Amino acid sequence: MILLKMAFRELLIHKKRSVITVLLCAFSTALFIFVNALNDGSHKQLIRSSAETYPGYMQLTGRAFEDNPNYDNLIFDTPRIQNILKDQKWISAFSARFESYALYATDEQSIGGMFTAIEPESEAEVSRLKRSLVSGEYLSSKDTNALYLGVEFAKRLKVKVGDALSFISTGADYSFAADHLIVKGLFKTKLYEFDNSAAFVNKSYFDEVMHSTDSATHIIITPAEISQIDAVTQRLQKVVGGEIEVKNYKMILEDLVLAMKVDQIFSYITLAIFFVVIFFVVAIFAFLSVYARIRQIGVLRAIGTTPGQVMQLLLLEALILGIIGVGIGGAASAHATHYYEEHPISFGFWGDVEIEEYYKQYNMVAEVTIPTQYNPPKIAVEMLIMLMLNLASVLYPMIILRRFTPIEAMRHV
Amino acid sequence: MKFLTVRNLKKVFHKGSESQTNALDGIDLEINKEEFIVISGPSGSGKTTLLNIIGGLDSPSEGGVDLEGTLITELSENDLALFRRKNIGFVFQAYNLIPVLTAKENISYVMRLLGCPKSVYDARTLEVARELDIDRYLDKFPDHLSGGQQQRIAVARAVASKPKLILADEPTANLDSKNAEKLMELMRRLNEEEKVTIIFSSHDPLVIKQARRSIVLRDGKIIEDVVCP
Amino acid sequence: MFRDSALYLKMALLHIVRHKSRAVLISLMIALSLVGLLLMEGMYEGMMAQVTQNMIKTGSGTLLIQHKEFRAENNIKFQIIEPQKIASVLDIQEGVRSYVMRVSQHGLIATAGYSRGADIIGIDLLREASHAHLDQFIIKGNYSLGKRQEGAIIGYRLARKLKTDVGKKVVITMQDRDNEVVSAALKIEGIIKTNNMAIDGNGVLADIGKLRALTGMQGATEIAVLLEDQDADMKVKQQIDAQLNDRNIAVYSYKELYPSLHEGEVMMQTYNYISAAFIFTVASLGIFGVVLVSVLERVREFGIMMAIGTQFRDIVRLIVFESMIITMSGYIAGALIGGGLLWYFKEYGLDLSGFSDAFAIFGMDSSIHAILKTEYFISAFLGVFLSTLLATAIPIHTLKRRNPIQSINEQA
Repeated sequence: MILLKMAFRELLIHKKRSVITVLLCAFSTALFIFVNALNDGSHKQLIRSSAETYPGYMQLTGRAFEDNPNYDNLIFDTPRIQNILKDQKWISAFSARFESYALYATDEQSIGGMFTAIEPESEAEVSRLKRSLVSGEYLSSKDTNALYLGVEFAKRLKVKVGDALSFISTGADYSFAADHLIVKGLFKTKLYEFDNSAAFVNKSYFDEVMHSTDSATHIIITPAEISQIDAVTQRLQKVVGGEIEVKNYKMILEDLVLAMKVDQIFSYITLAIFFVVIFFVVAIFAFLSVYARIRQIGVLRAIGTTPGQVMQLLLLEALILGIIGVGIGGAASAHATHYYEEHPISFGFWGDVEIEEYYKQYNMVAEVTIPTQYNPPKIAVEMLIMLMLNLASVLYPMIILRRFTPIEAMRHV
Repeated sequence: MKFLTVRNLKKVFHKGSESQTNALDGIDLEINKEEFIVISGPSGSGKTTLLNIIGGLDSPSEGGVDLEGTLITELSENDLALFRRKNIGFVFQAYNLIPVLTAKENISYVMRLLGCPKSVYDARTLEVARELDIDRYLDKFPDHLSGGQQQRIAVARAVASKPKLILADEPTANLDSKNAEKLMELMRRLNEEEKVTIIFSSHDPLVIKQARRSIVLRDGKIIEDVVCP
Repeated sequence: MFRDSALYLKMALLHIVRHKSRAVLISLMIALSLVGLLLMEGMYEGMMAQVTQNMIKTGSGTLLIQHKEFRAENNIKFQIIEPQKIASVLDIQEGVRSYVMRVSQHGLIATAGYSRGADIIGIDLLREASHAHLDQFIIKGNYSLGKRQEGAIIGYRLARKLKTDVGKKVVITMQDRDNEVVSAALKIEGIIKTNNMAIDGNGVLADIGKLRALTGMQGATEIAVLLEDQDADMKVKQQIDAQLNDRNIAVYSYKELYPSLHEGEVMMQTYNYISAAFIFTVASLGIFGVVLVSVLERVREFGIMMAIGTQFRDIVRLIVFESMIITMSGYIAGALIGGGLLWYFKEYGLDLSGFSDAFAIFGMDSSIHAILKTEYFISAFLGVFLSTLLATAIPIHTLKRRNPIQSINEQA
């Protein structure tokens, strides 16, 4: 107790030094927590918008479809699987797709591109396809001959809403399939390549012309809890059986997940450099404070304070400063991350660079407003790390003190 | 068995170099309980070194110190700290009070380290403070006290935990003669009333004559050891 | 004056030696943060440069010459009809290292089970090899387009997406000069990894003669030019423009083609500046602490110096000298270590092959080569210098207020 009292008084006497140390500590804690929360938030968002734009969080395909994406490796019993999925409470939505390829022809042009069947109503729950509408209308389950087309693709085909065009493709039974289509709506996602090659029709119409009833290339699934995705993937695999392959976004968007890892590493590197400086400044202040009272510590030792107790005293001082600093920084950043989770920060421009455009060149979907991710347990761990770092800053002064015997310390000026 | 035995104590500084000095050169000494001893001699004669070694603050190059059966020159650093805490009270020339503690806390510090309950150390602090006539200053910080007052608090700190031995290195050097005399009187009274053994060093003749046994050092050797009338 | 300085320098040094630990802490702080800062600048800039290089080298070149409508329409109707005329200009143009002609067209590539959009690029195999060493980027198969020009080389990411491999057949489909759809079957001879995103992800390289025959065109859609000096782009561009004097032909610098690359550099630089400013601000707090203590504990000493005739100016000089010696030794150590590391990474690269896939997404190689610029060291020097001055200002002010001469009596 007397040591604690001494530690407090010491810090109070050197108010300026204590305040600077506390501020530095608070600042670096806040920075650390906030940058991490922003990273997590942006990554989560990046995954969300990438997955939701089209690929989905989870997908089912025929077992051999990945290696051999042809009509022999489809999901042939879609209704049965959809029935299974209906009963799973850890799934919030699912929708079947049939991806294929067609040659589109207008009076002047003929261009190849994707020709994909979707179930319009349920598709709206697993992807942002419906929300990406920019003109005309989205598909409905009653549609026939209606095409939902990417804006860039429409530009290439030189068609607009209401225009007619025809397609030629190979049906699921390898027969020849062709029909005319009317452009019902145009969509624009943030993926240029996708907008430039994708086109959708209602699946019931598609099944008729392509002879693909009950078949699908993919079933896209949204789990109820995205954070539980690995567990859901495993459970789902057991339920649907070995003929069907279950994948989640970590495998589908493998590149993206890796890219985010790299991004995280870069931000850690920058943070590490910041911490080196901050750590040194805190250590320097701790050192100066110990140095100024080597004599006093000599006296303490002389009248019977053990080296361990002296160490305790120094640690207590660092702990008090650390708890206050980490507390302030942690509270401030927790508050900020909580606030910015609800009110995302706008990063439309970095300097005069437009972020969205910048990422588009890498075919990555960047949102201009980024929420932070408020994660109390993680914040607690980060605060603890900062506190440890703070305690570590008295190591050097302690080593210095070890060199002095009590009398040497008492003679020190 | 004697209370304190010093045997063939030698201390060499800067050994092997040109500036090698023999601070203590074979000191043999026996001290009884409740003695009131002054060690005097010119500066550099080895007074401080002798007190430091007896107090377990310094280690000898050769020889040993035995206090009631404990060979203190053989103790580890940590054990030495515990030994000092329990057995030795120090009074320094420069008072050396802990600036962040009040007078009261300075006095009770060692008792608190020893784990005394609050009621005990509070009562004892007050008792010693009254004895030394410093009870008015108990709540003040050292900065706000005069040299004489600080030194009396330092004495109170040394004596409060009832150590077996009090070592005082030139305790009056920073005091004027009036305060010096008062302090000596006080220490003598403590020696008689509290039955505590006191060894102090000084080169002030007025102070030296208060002692009951006088040891004179020169060049690290005892040249005189007399019991005063 | 000089003799005085030597004396103060000596005093400063002696004081530093007496308080080694503080000096070591400050120097170490500066050295370490400088190493970090230099590495960050050099590596990040190296990465950006690499992305640019990858795009220039195997792609557009430093300058790209096209029909002025081609970029917007992406239709081979807008071809360079007489590329030879341009070639004869380039042959004698100063600053041009090499150039290649290509026929490129957006089309489709299909395997038995899969199809994707692709950039079908007709190239002259030999010329590309001497132009950008395209042959060195083959990761599987051969740098060949088949004996009868019936082969193709495709980007590795494209190959992966198509699940196809060397030796397999692919069908390319594209529009010809009259907007008719034409197709050809090609055998994959090689798979290429250039870390140029466009080629790796979408590129199908075929023989230029074969594509000309297929599409019925004689000319080229683009001429990619590499310059001796990349920064001479605008100058050479103007000269070529003037020489050609053809309203239908456009010459683009890579900066115009990839504005986002430049933006990336601006972002990175801003980021580096902010980081540096932050680091030096915090560092100056540390320096400040040490200078303040070392000034305050010597008020009396300074008082004595002043009492015997030293001017306050000289005391200031002593304090600044002392601080500068400490911080500058940190600077030198940091600059040496950081510069050395950067030099090493510049020469040998930093191998991060564990993340090569992720880096490739950004158009980077898995081995990052740092960039080493004198301006890093100059700006770091200024940073250290200014933070030292900043850090000594308050202690000097405090010292003046304490009135050193009076303090002699106070403490004596």
